[in-house]
Amino acid sequence: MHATDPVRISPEAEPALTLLTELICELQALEEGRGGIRRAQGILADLGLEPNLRHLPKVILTVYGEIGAALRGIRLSRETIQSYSLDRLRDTHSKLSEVSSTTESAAMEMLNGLDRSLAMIDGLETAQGAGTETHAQFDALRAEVNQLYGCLQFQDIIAQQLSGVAALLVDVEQRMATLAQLFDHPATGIAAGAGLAAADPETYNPDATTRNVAERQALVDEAFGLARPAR
Amino acid sequence: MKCLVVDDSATMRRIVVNALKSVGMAEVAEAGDGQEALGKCDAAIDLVVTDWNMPVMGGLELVKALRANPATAKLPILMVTTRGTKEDILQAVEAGVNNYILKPFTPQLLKEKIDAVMAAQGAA
Repeated sequence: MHATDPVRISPEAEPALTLLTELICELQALEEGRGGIRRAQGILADLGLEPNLRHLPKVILTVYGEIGAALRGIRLSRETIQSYSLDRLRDTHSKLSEVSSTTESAAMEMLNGLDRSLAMIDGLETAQGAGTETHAQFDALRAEVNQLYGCLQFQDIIAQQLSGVAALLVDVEQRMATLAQLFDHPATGIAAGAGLAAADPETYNPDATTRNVAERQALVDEAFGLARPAR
Repeated sequence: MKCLVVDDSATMRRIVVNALKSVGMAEVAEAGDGQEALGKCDAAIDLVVTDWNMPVMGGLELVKALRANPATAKLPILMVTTRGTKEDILQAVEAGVNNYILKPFTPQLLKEKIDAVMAAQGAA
């Protein structure tokens, strides 16, 4: 017998259940003035002889065992969610934070280097003395360095994109934790763990991008031009 | 001419300051959020270049606060941000922004926008 398979339980209990249904119908008919007491008595007698009712305690024990096995499976599922989903989400979130802070530190180091480069260009220019051609060369060099400053804007944009991804991970983590808690029983003693911290959504733009800047700026200028006179 | 650069990213502040200096704007003050910027917006400031998304007080709130104060109501404000939807633009215009630049920008574009804002201010 397999308690999780009702088709396999029913053949043993079905004759008794059928007799019970017939008895109820007969009693209802009797109450409404239809039928006779004799038929109901016959059904009762048959029900008393039905041997499969003696298997009921065994069926209950089997079902209890099946429920226990199902609960163990659920606990295992909860642990699987904990170890393979929540822990990995938290690890990924932590790595994103590390990437963000490392990129920021690197960008600051590069800015420091560019500051020093500009100072060196100024120093070299002074040492070289005034000459139109030399001055133009140093200006070109400054323009190159300033271009590099601009390139480092990627750090701010990437940081905002990472904040958006991190917020998504926090949302998924909260949903997974809620799902895991559904499987929890106080007796299991498995804690949900500390939740991930999300950045204030007002502090970043998850749609920040470095792509198609010129096209997007043109659209912005057009929209700005249209909106401004309307004020 | 003195400019106030408002951005919560220290990297971005340095980049904007460098861009401003490279186009000849030598005097630059800095603030990390709108609240700090309000404290630094004195009569010496001629132009505000602000980000939108910031903690404590965002750029849009800063613009509204500056426009609500008679002492800073006419101060030229340039928004430099990653936000570029039509809805964003409309909100910025409604708040009182004088011009709008998307990140990443070039120093040349920054200069063009500053020139346009200051020319319009002079004409007003």
